[in-house]
Amino acid sequence: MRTALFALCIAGALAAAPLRAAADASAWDGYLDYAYVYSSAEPAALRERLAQYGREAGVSFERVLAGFEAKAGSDAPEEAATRRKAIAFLLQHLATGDAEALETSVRAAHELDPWMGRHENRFWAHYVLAHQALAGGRRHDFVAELLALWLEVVVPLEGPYEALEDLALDGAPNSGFVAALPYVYEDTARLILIRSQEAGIDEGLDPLGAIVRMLGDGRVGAHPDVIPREASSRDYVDRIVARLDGPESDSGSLTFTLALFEATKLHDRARGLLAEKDLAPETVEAIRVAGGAYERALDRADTAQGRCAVHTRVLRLLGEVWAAKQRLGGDPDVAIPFDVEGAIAVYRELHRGLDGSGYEELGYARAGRAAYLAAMRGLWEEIQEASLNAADHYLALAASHPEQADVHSRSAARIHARTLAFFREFASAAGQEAVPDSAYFAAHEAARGLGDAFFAFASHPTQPEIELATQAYRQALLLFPFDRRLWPALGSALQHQGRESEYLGLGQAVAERVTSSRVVDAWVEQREPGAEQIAGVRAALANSEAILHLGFAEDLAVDDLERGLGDLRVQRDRARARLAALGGEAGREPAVAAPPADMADVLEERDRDREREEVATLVARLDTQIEARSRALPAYRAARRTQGLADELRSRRDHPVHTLLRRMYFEAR
Amino acid sequence: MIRRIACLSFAALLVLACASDPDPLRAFEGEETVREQNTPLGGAALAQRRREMERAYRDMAQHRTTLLDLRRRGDRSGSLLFGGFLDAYIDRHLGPLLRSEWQSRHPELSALDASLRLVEAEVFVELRDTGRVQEALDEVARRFQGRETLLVDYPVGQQSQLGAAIESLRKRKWRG
Repeated sequence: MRTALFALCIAGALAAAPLRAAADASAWDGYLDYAYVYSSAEPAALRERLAQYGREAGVSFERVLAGFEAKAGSDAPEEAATRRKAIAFLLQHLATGDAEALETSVRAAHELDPWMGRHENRFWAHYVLAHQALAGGRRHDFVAELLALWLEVVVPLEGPYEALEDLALDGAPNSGFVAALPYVYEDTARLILIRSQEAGIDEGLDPLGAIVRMLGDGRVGAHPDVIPREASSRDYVDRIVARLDGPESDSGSLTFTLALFEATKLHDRARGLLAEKDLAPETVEAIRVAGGAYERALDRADTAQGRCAVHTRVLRLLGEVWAAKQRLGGDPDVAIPFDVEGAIAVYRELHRGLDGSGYEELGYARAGRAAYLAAMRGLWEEIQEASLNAADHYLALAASHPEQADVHSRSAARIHARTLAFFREFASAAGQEAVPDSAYFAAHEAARGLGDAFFAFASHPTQPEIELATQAYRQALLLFPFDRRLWPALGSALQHQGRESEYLGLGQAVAERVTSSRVVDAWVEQREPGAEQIAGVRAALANSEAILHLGFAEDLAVDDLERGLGDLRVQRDRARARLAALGGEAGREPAVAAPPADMADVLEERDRDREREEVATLVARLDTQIEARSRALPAYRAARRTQGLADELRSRRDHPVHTLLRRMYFEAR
Repeated sequence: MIRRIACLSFAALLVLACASDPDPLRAFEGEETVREQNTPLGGAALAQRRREMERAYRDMAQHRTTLLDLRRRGDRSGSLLFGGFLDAYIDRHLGPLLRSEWQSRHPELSALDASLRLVEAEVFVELRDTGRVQEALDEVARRFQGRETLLVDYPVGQQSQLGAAIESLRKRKWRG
């Protein structure tokens, strides 16, 4: 009802004008008096609207402007005419970017000084001067004008507006400028959040954080009967306020929040293009622009909190680019002015706040310790993902370009080594709250990747590289002993160096971590996720033969091994039969002493004894092998079933088994 | 008070130095925005006053947040500018809103009145205006003498007893 009333009021005022004077500039009075309704429109929409009003009024907007110019200096200024002149030239500036129009508007706004007791005049004066400050890049003046607008216009109008609203008179024709309050909120919000950014004001906006918070507190969008919610900037204001007070803030800086928000929008665009057009030139350009926007946001960050927010987001962009390069197999020149080292430096800075309330100094005073720790874990995850993606890209290049495999595999190895060094530096008992659960499996991936880079991809690894890769495999197994495919990699690495005899010793050391682990016991007993698979591996690792199978029988399927066991049994049965035919077990004395025979008989008897001894030895060896393999095969079979676990952990960074790996890591330290 | 005047003068000088406009802060001077009510209110007028006080409480909480943020980031220029705005807001809007005695005694508004005074004092602490902190606390102690167990919304987002809140603020008076 009130909407209808208010709309009727505007329509009435606007419709009356053309009737009063068909070709008179005063036909525009109504349009100008209600300009707060549409002054925040985009330039193209505003131009269209002004043209439409011109058609409705029978007087073009240009003629209205010319009329104001013609009157200038001829009469003593009159209040309403002066205000309308300020409004008209501001609209011209907003629609066309005409700088002279803005100056004319500013002069008219200053001429309103004698009538500043009227809220409407105050609003337009501060609104015009704020635009002048924007156009001149004078951020301090811009902020001051908006604070003044709030104090001079909004604060005094809020009480009366509520009173009118209570009486449902806020849309009444003679409720005056009080009824404009919802539009004042909207115009103020758009000026601060949108126009300031379009004008490139990217510094010194922080005092306006208070106004943005107040606009978000039941003001913008709170009058859907006046401004429909979809036409208001409510959602945008809400998002900015959430960022301003959330963990991705820079201690509440509006300047930073707007800069990061802009960068995020550009990132989303780049991501969309990446999905749609792969690494086309348009995508590469969008990535470059997003990277530049993140760089500007970083420049605006005063605290470690802000720097963390920027690096966390930009590393995601980096990770996406590396993943796309790997997926598409290309290596286009994508420039992003960030790297993992910068992010690690920020993590190191944040790490200093772990003691006591140090996190408050880093910008998290309001967000709190939980948000601080969550931000550190988030940054860590992006560091590890970007690093793993980058290394995978180099390994993919090594595989697809064998002639450059040595170069690319070493690049991958260096990235993995850096990831491991980062892990070793910060994954301590004291700092484990700031380390995500997924870090332990990711460190395993990096260690394994380091080994693979030299053993599986490099054509000619040097002896120190082979040594390093072997150590990396061992470390990878210590971090995640449930990776069946890693055991043969370790066996192969040792074989490469002629050290296969060390395999069992190394394997048993790893196995002991699992078989003697109380956290693994508890995990299995409580039937936590993956417990069955983990119990299978644990059983295998308790068996030396199974460990050897894991290391050296990878190429054979379990069925082959079972067939081999059957073959052994057949061989043993044949040997036993032969042994029986030879007169029993080797070394057994004949039941009755044979009478002396001639020389030929003696020799024949000796041959039979020797054969009997050999067959008996063979039977004993086959019995041992059959017994060992019979014990090892079920455990080995169970161990082979765990392969899916590694894949699950790789694809799900929130998999519960990540928690088990963290506990195992700290249990062993 | 001298310190406050000096602070504001410096702010004005700073603003003048970096702005081409003769004095962008001039607009912070002006008339009070709340008419004093000398008689106890009821009905719609009481509801109106409650809404004004609730809004002022929330706005003061936002102002305090912004002020703290500016100071934490060491934004001296922003702090001075915003401090000037806050002074004007308190002088022209909050002061008149809190001037009447009746609302401190009114059962529907007394807790809100006390909470608002405490947030005001808190803002003075952050503005490092110890004189006005003292004045605000003395005033709330005078108005609510014998009602120290009144539950107030202080610190923002929590509740405490008025007496304890006043004590806590007195201890923090020199924090700035």
